Amino acid sequence: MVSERQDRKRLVAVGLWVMAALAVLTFLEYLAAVRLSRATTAVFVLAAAKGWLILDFFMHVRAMFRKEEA
Amino acid sequence: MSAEAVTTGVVTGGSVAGSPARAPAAGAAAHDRVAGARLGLWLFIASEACLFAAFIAARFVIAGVSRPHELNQGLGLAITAILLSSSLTAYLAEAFARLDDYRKSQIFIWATAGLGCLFLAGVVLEFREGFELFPPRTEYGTAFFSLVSLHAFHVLTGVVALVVSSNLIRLGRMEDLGAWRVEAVVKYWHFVDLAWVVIFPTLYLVS
Repeated sequence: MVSERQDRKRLVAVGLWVMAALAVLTFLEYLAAVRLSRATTAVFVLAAAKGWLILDFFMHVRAMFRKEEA
Repeated sequence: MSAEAVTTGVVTGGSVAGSPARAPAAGAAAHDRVAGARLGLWLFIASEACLFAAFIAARFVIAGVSRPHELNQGLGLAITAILLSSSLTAYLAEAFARLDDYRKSQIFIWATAGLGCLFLAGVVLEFREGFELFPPRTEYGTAFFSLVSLHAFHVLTGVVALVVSSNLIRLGRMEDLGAWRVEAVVKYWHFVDLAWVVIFPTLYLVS
């Protein structure tokens, strides 16, 4: 019961952290586009970081390449 | 069950993680079905990614990196925030489904669908402005309307899939495949979100 409660807390915390990181990166993207005259490279680097966060934490892409637990 | 197994959906001991214990043979059969379905879903996502990549490449071929000065970047940022928020609710819907808490999962599924509808409302606003400022016959308009329409259609199908998934929970049809039905819809939703992560800078930010 305690373990399940901890699991829930941990899952929610991971989701919130990833969400916060996505928000910060999106804001940086916007800032780069508004402030820099040539922002293409910068915004795509930031977009790649956001993509990795979604793929890894939300879509669990690494689990596809992991061996199953015995 | 470890939190990691709950998060990633890695199966344990021949049964689907997050679902109730059942006979080993039935568990193994369900495991095989889910493993095959999961691979199929990833292949589907890969094919969809190729479609989006083609449209994104077309934007640069047709209009280069130019964008109209009248483009409403603020609205673009707002709908991006809405879609990213829906990713969190979708993630929580999947996480609670794995923990067999389908009631909470259903709440987050509806929250995700609601945010998806809000995103679509934002796209409609964007289209209304766009038709006046950069009509589809212009170079940028062609790229903008085709790419955003393609994505909006995926959001719409995602919303429909979320509603179907919620209905399956309501009908109690989660026992045979565990949380897979929620996981599949949520993965698709995250992909739609991922596509927007690339589309947003492609249309609104590059210069």
